Amino acid sequence: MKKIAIVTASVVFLLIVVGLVLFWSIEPDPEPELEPVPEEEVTLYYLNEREHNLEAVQKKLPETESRARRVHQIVDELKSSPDEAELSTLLPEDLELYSVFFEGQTVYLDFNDALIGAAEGTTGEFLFLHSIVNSVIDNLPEEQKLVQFLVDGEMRKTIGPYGEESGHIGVKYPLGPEWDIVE
Amino acid sequence: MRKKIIKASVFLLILIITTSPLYAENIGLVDVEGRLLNEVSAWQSEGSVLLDLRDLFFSLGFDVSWQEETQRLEVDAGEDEYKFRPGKSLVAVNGENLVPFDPPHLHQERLYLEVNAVENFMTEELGKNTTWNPSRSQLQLVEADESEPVDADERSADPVADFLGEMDDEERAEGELLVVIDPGHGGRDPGAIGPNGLMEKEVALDISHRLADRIESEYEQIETHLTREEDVFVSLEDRTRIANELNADMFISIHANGHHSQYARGFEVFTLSGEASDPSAEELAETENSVLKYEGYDADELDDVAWILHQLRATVHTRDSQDLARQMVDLMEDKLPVPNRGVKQAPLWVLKDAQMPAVLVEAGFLSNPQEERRLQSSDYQESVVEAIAKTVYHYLENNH
Repeated sequence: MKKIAIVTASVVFLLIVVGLVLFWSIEPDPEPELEPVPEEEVTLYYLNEREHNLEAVQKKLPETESRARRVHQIVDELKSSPDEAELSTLLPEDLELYSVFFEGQTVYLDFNDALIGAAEGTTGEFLFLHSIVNSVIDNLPEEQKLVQFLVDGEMRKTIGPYGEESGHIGVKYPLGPEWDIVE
Repeated sequence: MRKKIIKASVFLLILIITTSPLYAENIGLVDVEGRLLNEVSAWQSEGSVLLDLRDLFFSLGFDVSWQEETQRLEVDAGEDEYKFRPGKSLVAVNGENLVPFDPPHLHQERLYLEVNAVENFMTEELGKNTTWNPSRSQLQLVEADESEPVDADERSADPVADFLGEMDDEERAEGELLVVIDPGHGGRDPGAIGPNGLMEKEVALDISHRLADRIESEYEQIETHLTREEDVFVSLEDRTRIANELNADMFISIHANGHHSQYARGFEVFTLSGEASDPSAEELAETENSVLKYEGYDADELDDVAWILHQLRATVHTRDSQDLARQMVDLMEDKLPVPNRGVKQAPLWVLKDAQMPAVLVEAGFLSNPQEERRLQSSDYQESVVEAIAKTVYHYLENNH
C-alpha cells in the first residue's frame, strides 16, 4: 500500500515537473502585431537656402481618404525642416491651421494670426505663401486649383504685420501654384 | 446646417479674436437736419463698426425679410430689390445684375456690414450720400449735391484729395507726361527692416526723391509726382488711385526686398500677374456660376460688355508693364554691382488698380547685411535712380 502511495506521489511529482518544464519552455503568445499604417508619398515645397528658391521634397504621410485631413497633414509636416542641411521650412512654429474647407476649385485655409508678418518683402512673402500653395495644390485632386488664405476666419488684403495694407502680395483673392520659383 | 455653424463660428471668431474690446451698441440714423430717424443695432470696436442691415434698411423705410431657407436678406427698396448673403461679396439686384461688394457677416440670423461698406452701398446703389460720425455713433444722411458733411472739422484728412488739390494749381502743359513715383510703406508701416535697422520705408523714400529730382532736371517734358513726400502712411489702394486720378502715364513703386535667407541678393522688377490683374473679376468668376445657378440663370448667357472691355484694357497694361520692366532690368544690370534676378510677376496688391503701365522695383535685399549697406549709400541709390530714369525716358519717348 505504501508502495502504491510512493509510486503515485512520484508520478504526480513527475507530471508536475514535466508540466512546469513544458509551461516555461513554451514561448508566450506574441502580442498581437499592430497593422502598419499605410503611407502615401507627397511632394512638399521647402526653401533651398543656397538657391533662395523653393525645392520639391518627397515625404511620406499616413494614408487618408479625407482631403481636409491631407491638407492638415501637409501643413504640419511643412512646419519642420527636412534633414538636408540646405533645406528649411518657411513656416513659423506657431502657425496653426484652424480649418480647411472646399468650394469649387478653391481650398480655403483658415490660419491663426501667426500668418500675419510670417514673411518680409515681396520675394519673402511670395516664397512663403507658395511653399503652402504649391504643397497643398500639388497633392490634392486636380479639381482643386487655388488656395484662399484666411486669418481667424477673415480675408485680408495682405499678410503685412502693420495693418492689412502693409504687405505686398495680395491674398484677398485665391492664389494658384507657382512652378517658376521651384528649383 | 454645417455651413451655418461654420459661418456662425467664423463670426464669433472675428468677434472674439480680431476685435477683442467689442461691444453691442446701437448707432443713430439721422436725417439731413440732424433729427434721429431710428436706432440701428450694431457691433462696435475701436475703429470698426458693423451695422445690422435689417435694422438699417427697415429704418430707411424698405421692406426687409430674412429667408431662413436660402440664407438671404431680401430688401425691397421700391424700384430695386437686393439680396444679401452671408460671407458673399455679391449682391443680387432684381435677380440678375451682380454688384461686387464687401461680404456681410452672419450672426444670430442678422447680417452685419462694416459702416464704410454700408456708406458705399448707400451712395452707389441707393443714391443716398451719408456721413459717418464716429464720435457720436451717428450715420447722417446728407444732400446728394452736398459733399461737405455738417461737421466738416470732424472729417478725417484725405491724402488723395490733398494731392489732387495741389495738382490743380500746376496745370499740366500740352504734351507733358506724368510719372507717379510711389515710395513703398511709410508712417506706422516701416516695411522690411535690415539686420542693422535700416527700414524699407526710408530707402524707398530716399530713392523716390532722388528719382523725381533726376527725371525733372534731365527730362523737361516729364513731370513727376510722389504718392508720399514724407514719412506718412498711405493705403495701397490710394497709391494707384492718385495715379489714376492724375491720369499718369506710368506708375513706379519703389521697394527694398526681404528674404528668409540672409544670402539672397540682387534686384528685380515686378509686374502684376494675371491672376490678380482684376481681383473683383477673379472673385466674380469664382462665385458667379454658383450664384447664377442659384438664381436660375445660365452663366454662359451672361453678356457683359463692360467686363470684356475691362479685361482687354488689363491685358494691354500687362503687356506694356512687362515691356517697361524688361527695359528697366536691362539698364539696372549695366549700372548695378549686384545680380539681376530679372522680371517677375506676382499678384501685388499695390499694382492691381493701376490704369497705366505699372511696375514695382525691388532695389536690393535689406535682409542681406551687405546689400543693406549698399541700399543706404548714395552711390548705390544714384545708380538705381540713373537706370530707372533712363528707362522711363526711353519708354515714354517710344510710346507717346
